[in-house]
Amino acid sequence: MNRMYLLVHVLAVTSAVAQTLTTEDMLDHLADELLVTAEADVSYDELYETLTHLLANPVELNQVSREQLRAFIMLSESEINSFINYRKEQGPFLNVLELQAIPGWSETTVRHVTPFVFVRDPASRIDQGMVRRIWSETNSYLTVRYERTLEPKRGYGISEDSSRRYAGSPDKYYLRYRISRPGDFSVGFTAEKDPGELLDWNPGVQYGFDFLSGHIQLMRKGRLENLVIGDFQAQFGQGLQLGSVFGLGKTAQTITGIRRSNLGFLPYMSASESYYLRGIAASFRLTDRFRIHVFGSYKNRDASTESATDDVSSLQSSGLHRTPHELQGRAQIRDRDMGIVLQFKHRAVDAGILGYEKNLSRPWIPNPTPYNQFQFRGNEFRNIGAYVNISWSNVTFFSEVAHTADHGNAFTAGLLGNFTAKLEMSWLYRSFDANYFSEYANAVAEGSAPQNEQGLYWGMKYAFSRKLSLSGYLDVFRFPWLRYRVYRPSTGNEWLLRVDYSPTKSMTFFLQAREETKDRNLSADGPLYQVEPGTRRHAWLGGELILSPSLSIQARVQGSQYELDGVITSGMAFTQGASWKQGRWSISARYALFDTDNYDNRQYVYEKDVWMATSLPAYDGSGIRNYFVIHYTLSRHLDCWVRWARTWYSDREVIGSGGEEIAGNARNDIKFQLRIRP
Amino acid sequence: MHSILLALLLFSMATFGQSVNTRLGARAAALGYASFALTDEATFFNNPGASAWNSVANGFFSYEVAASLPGANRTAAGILIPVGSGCLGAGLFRFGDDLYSEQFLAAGFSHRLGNTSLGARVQYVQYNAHGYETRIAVTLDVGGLIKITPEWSIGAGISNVTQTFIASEGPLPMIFSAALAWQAPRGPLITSEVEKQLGNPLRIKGGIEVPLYQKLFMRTGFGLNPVTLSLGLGAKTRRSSFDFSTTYHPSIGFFNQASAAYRFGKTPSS
Repeated sequence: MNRMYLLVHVLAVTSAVAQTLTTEDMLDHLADELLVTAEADVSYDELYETLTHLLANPVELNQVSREQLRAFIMLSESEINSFINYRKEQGPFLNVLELQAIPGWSETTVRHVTPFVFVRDPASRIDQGMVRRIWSETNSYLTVRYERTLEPKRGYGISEDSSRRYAGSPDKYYLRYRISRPGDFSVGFTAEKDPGELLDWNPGVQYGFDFLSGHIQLMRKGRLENLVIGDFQAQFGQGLQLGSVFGLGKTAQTITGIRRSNLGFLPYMSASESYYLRGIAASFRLTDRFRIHVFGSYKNRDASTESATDDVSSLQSSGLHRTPHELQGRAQIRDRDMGIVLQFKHRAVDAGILGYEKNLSRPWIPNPTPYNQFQFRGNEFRNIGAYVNISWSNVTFFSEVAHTADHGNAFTAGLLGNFTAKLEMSWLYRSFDANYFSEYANAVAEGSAPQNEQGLYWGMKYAFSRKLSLSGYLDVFRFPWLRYRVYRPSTGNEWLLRVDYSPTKSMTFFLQAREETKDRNLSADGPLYQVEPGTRRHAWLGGELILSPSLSIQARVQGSQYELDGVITSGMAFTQGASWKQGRWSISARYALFDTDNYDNRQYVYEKDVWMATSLPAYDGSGIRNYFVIHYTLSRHLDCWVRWARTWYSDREVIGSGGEEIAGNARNDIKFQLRIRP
Repeated sequence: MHSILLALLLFSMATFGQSVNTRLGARAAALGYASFALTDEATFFNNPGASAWNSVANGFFSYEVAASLPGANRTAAGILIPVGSGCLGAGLFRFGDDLYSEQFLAAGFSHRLGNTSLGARVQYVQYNAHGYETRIAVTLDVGGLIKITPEWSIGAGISNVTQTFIASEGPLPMIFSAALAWQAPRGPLITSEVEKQLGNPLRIKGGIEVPLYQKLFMRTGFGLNPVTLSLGLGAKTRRSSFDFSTTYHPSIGFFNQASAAYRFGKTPSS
């Protein structure tokens, strides 16, 4: 078919599909779906931030690689293949609307992908100098945010013990600037002051804000494919050694969630003050098939020190410097990381050899406990490993093996893909020794690190029709050594089942159930602990309806039950909300009622927030939570947001503990944000 | 006096704030009050967002007595007037006797947008206890109903979204409801609902309505937490409806309710 004719045809039929889904809407949908299985031990802030970045920086359809498409997690292997084949056969995309012409792409897929992609006008090909391009680039933003809890907290009061009193004000300030052009360059800067921290100018220690981060990234300069100076993340193989915060694991995306994309070096833009590398990273193309990636990182880290030995007993990752005690632990240790990856890529094979070394300026000696016997102790370790990814037809295989010198091994391998037009499946096996270490790992695991675990995962997704799909997973695992709160080698399992039903484009419903059984210590009377399996069951039922282009409503009921040693406790949350959009205004509001017996039954509920911010509070206790977010577009250059969230508890007169304690049964949080774009 | 306090406790099922159940109608009661996705004349007292499905102006009256609790009767009357694509509603409600009573005056509007209706109702509530000063509160309820297909309906809403407080007594209960109903063409109706109020376990409700003979219906329903069982009968003519229900509560025994509705305007000849 003639290319232009096709395009005209597509444009003509497209008005029916032109549902006004913005990038923000899509992010909210996706985050909500992925985070609904949230567990406390995963940093969802960082995950969402990175997701925001990968998705809020649209990719160019004629440049996007297979691996970048996989990182989207919304696309199945067969959809990715169709895309690549279409581009190969038909030549460069002329317009995003052409996505509809890709064989095997449903209307829903097109609708989901469209907000995250664009096609660059061929006339604007790179012909100016770099500085000029940066200067003339319009894809940039400056975000300024202010947050505060209205109720006074104990840490700010004069009655608080001076060693625990917060030095700064209860205000939170946040500033972020970024200018970028996908596939060419990115320059960014983030500054943050958390509540309780001091705004201080103390050269050598602090320059105004408590946390500063920045990066300069250049891409595709001859043999230099990628260069990041400043703060970055590294994601190679399956994340056994080097993983960024981008990676899902066990979520409602039962197929694509368990594979890590081989993304290389990414600029770090998050304000969470740990798990980034600081220094320089570069990727060079040696030949068509070989690439080399190297990085070096050097940064100060917060740590708690044993006064007797001057050893470091724990590394702090909260990044909070509010009290004299927290300030004392600031920048107590120098962390040097170096790594090298030799990558071979040819047709369907992507393989690499990785080496990584960590060096701390002082020995890290955690206080001994029964469960941390195999944890890293000392001031340096070296890792070596390899990864192999192979794609064949609509199936992809992925694996990585790693070894810590003089210590343990880690291995992971998986397979996923479309087995029939309607059926997708995935498998993942992993085996991690208790004495394998890597601080920047982000592998799919039940535990928070790839350590002390063996397991087998099976996931499936069956699309009965475009309206109805069923997905689920089953994961069986064991921990060969003791764990925190589990003082014996233990086993466990977890399953999830989810039905998505969308009778029309404007109606979506889902029903999800999940059960997890893991061992846990019972409270001990003497020196011996009794360990029993604890089972957590969760169920969710939710729906969203788009009533008109300007109004949509949502409702959800979710509940949980935790059973340990014959005692059953439960919790639930009931939420109802509405979003309204008209002209320059966009308003979202939600009411939630929660009632939980204890912390084991806390309910995680994803909440809408201001642009590029995330909110996934755990509702605990019983009470009412409500919030609203107002977004007003003042002009093409200026957007403002206001968010107000209120939690009222019916079961307590004091909220929180320690310095965060609030006298009273209600808490109000406000947030203002401005975004300036050229 | 004792009995009425007991009744209050059981009716309200609230550990703080106090307010009796204001869901009403003998049809709804017979269906175990799994009535958030229904669109009959009593909908003003069940789902404030569903009134818009009434295409004819109507009046509604209901009276409920508990056999073992003479003071604990509930009376209500309402009127619905279709206006454009919406429906205006007004109503009166009273619970109790001279020792203790609650009454409210309510006004609401429900707006229909295609297969969906949304609405709100404002109540001016008075609480009277013998020997104590009268307490007054203004509360707001919101709700909505969606007919996904001619057979399937979903209803959801929140009562007391304003989290109104009564001075020195604490907040009035805030209740979240969501319901699903399936109506076979000329056949049975199956309804279900979940309702949650702080301090109480999740209440799960269900009901079935079966046409017996032309315009005669038999109904039954249940509720869990606490367990209740209901039975009812209803008759419907072109202009009027008459419904009766009886509900068994393990602590209070039987409640009986009778309702009547009359449609004023032009009715579709059926």
